[in-house]
Amino acid sequence: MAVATAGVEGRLEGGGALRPDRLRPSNGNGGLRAFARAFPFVLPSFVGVTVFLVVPVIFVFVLSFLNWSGAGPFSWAGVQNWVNIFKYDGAAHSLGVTAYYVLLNIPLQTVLALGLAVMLNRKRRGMGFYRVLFLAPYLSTPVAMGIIWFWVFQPQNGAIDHFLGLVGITGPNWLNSSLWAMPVVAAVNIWQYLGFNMLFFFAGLQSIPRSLYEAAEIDGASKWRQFWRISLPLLNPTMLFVLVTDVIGSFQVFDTLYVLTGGSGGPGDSTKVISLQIYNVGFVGTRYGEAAALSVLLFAVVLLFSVGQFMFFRNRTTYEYSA
Amino acid sequence: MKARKWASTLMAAVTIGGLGLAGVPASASAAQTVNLSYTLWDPHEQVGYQKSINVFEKMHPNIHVTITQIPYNSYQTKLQEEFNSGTGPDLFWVNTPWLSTWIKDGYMLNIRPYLKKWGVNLGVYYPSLVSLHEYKGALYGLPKDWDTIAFYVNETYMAKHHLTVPSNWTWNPTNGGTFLKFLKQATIDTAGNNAASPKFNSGSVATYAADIANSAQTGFENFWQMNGCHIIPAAYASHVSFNTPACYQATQFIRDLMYKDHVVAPGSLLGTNGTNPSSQDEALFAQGKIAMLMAGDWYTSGVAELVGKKFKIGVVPLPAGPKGRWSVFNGLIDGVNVHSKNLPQALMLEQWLGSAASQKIMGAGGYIWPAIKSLDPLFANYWKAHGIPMQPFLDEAHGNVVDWPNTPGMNQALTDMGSDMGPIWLGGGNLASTTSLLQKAYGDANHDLSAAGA
Repeated sequence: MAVATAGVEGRLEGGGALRPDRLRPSNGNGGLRAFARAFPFVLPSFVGVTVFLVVPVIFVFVLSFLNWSGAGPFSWAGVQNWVNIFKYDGAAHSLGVTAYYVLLNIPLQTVLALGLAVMLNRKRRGMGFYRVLFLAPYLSTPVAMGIIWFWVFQPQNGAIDHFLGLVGITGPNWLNSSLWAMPVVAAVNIWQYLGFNMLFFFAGLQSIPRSLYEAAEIDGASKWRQFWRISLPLLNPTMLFVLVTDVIGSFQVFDTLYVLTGGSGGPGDSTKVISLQIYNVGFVGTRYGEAAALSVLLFAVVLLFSVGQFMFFRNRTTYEYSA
Repeated sequence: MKARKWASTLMAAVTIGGLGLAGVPASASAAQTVNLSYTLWDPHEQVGYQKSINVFEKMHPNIHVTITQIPYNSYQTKLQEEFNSGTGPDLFWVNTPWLSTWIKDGYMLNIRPYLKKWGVNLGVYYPSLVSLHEYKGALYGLPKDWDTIAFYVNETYMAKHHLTVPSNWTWNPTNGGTFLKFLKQATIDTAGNNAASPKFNSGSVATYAADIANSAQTGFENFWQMNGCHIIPAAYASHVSFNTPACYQATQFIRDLMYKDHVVAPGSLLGTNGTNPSSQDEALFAQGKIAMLMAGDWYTSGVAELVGKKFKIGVVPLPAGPKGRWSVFNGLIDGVNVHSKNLPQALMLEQWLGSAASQKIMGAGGYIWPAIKSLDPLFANYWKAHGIPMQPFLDEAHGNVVDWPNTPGMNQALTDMGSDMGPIWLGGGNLASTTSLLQKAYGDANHDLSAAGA
């Protein structure tokens, strides 16, 4: 610590945490010296972030104004790529389809994961086994799982239709029905990521001090009231994390959907989410400029949702009992 | 402890040194061996190509060829990424829809300058296979096979129901012709009534007469052409041309076969949008759920394997339409990577795979119809000996054929067409709705071509 703050007027005072406002240089030269000393420590991360994040992001943004087929020279396209993604590539439709998927996926997944975490947050025999069991789908490869579910949902030969047939019900041809295809994709994703999200809620629940529940019990609060008044508010940091990462992940859904729908985005274009369209336009159509424009659009939408979520939770979250 | 450590280090040094000395002649020999990479997508044909390459390697002991098989659905995208990252294979299969794009993007070598040295006579090949792979005077590969589209028939099923496929069957979009008449007889519900019977229950079909996939090559393009309509007006065209009444009618005819007459398996049985992404058509045929499988001759190995001894397989030509009988015709070449680090050896392999010697191995083994016309009987004889008469495919090749469309952006255009036309394969509808869906496909396909620089 002494090395890191040498030459800096602000020091750790009274055992308090190191805060940026306490690292005030005595003069301009001192600041430069501190920067020069600190820079080698930051350099590896700086290079990594620059090369693998900043440069690609800037490249994609610039590419959205260029024509490029993946080979050969770039040429200036102006805003034509942006016009084309709405005129020909169905950007608005794809965003709508993606939003529908997010809407199907997030609320149900979050509620189920939270419920599961509450159920498994008990000191009973076998709880550890169930925690691992529910996590197992997350440990599997999405593409492999997609292929298995593809066969499960096949008309006539699939397991679901077979079992429905035993009770006299004819299945709705799940993946070839515009009505059912997206709910099936969402259901498979919920199944796959439920255990993963449950893990976060479980860790959050474990970090809430028992004393709070004991005090509530003394005051006569029911289990239900304890959940609403203690567990849920104190899980807000976890909830924020789960929601932000899940919403981002859902907007970027690709692998399972690609396998389940054969990469077509069908039936019709009812499951043509924006990631699939980026893949098709870029990698199949080799119109990387338009694919970049679609990517920037997706980035902007995800950013908007993330900022919205942070703003919503800003005044509703305490980190006092966070794990 | 310290002594033991030193001893271990010494032993390791001696061992490594020994290995190094022993490796001197081996590495010198390895330096002389050139490793070529060859990429293809068909696992059945891979077996035949390995046999051909074994012979090639015996002729050239210093060349070793490694075959990599990439599934067709991801072949184009994976190879493009490999080319762009400089890791593309030395030699690779090229299919028509992405040929122009790869030529335009400079992945493929023009082999015309080498033909004289190799003593190649292009006249031995099917002429359209040569012209398909020519552009502005350059030639991008020696033809090595060809294919047409016909119906594989479950002969056992036909015999059981006392049916014989008419040899000169015809179709038209007005009344369906003898094609529709036969399809009605060959479609049977679970109660044993055929589709021509008033008792026929379309909600409980045991066996559909046939399938027609939402696929240009093995499905609708054949019917379009037979009704006087084309995907593109000519090779390297700048626009598609299927916004015509002839195309709308032919497509509506297929839609009606599925959802009005219920004699062709609904597209939903062929996967999302009826595009048959996982070759569900082969499974339906082998399971007896369709009596005739509309497919290309490259299906033969797979179908024979899947059907086994369950039933006897026959082949019949496509029915003739208002403009006669037409089949989509296609053939593959091996592209030579323009950036190959082993170009002389890659060219030797290119020459070998295009040669009569290699195509004899492939034809006689029943893997492909050789692109060299005189070798046609080899493939036919192989399958005749295995009980499958392939002559209808050959007859079609000698009749009216239309090349699978070739222009920049065509692969993306076909992808978008499959998606836009999906609702046609997934449910009934009238001509107006079919027209509207085709017009959307037309707009998207034109944009794909224009964006790709067609």
